[in-house]
Amino acid sequence: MGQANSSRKITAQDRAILDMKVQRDKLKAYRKRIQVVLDREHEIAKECLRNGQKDKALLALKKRKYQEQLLDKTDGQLQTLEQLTSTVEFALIQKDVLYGLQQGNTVLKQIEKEMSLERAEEIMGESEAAVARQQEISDLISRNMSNEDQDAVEEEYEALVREAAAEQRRKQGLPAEQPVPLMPNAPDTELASPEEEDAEEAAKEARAKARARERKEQLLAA
Amino acid sequence: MTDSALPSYYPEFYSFPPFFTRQPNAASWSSQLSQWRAFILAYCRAHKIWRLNLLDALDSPLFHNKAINRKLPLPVIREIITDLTASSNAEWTSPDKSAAYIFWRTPDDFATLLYTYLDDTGQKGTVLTLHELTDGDNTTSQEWYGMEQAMLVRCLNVLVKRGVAQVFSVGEDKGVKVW
Repeated sequence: MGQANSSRKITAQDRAILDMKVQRDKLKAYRKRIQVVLDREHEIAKECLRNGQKDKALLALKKRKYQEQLLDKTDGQLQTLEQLTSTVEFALIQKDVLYGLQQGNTVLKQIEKEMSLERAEEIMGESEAAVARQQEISDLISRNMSNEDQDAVEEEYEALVREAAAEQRRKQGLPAEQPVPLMPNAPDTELASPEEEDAEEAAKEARAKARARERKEQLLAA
Repeated sequence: MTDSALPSYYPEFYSFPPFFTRQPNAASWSSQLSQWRAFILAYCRAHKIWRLNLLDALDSPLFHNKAINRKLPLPVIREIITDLTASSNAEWTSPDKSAAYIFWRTPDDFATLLYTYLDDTGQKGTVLTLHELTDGDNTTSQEWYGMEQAMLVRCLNVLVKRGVAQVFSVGEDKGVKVW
């Protein structure tokens, strides 16, 4: 803390608290003393009774009663004093908390000043414009590409995706390939192969057509 | 008093008569001295003796083994205590060297103990009276409980020197604040 040294001084409040705590210690000592007297008077009363001195015994008990009242009063005062001390100490802590809150508030205001609304709008506007420009460039490029180029790009993209997936699987400690083998099993029957190849070919063609249609629609829309 | 009844802090040599005579040989004396040093500190710690009055202590079990009828002579006691003062384990309370404070932990050690206690109990930054530290209801289980105030001031001054405490007073009563 920067202000550590300046705060390490005994303040008037510290002195006041010490004063109260010293009084508390003294009251506690006084209470101890009365307790001793109480016990002694009790002993005296017992002794006098044993010796048949009834008056003296009664006197001792009366004295004892009086001391007891003093003890009660002392306890009350002690409580008041301790309460007051706690209140003062709590108030001091509250003061520190308030100071902390004030500091936090100041910092918050400062930060808010540094990020004004206009500035935020400006930045957002700028990035929006950049996004729009990016979109324009992308459109321009795709319009100048032949269908075959577009297909090739997409094929390459898919290959990359597959590769990335394989990489991830390897990292996880799984076999690089998907559990469904990409390589077909060696044909052990003669029947299946030609038709399957045809089907695959047909599927590829259908995909290409679908893409072409999509592109046409995009062009029309643009 | 029989040997088996002696608490564990009594040295082995306690029942050995030459232990109560200063050994003329320097090497023997040095070993004897260190035994006595340890014994005095352990004895005071066990009996919570903060101020050792040499004349009173002469006849206490510390310097007087009644079982073998041996006493450590006063000048030798004084020599040992003087040696203890060199390591901050003792401090003469008067120039005539008739009594001494016994620090079975050095003031430095006690200062650290006090600081740790105040830190652990969240009382840093609180004003405390010295009386409540040595005789308060909350410190009865602490090692410095019952310590004489002059000794406590010595220990707290170590903290003041370390820059983490201030001792101040209202009238004659002292208080301390630790940061």
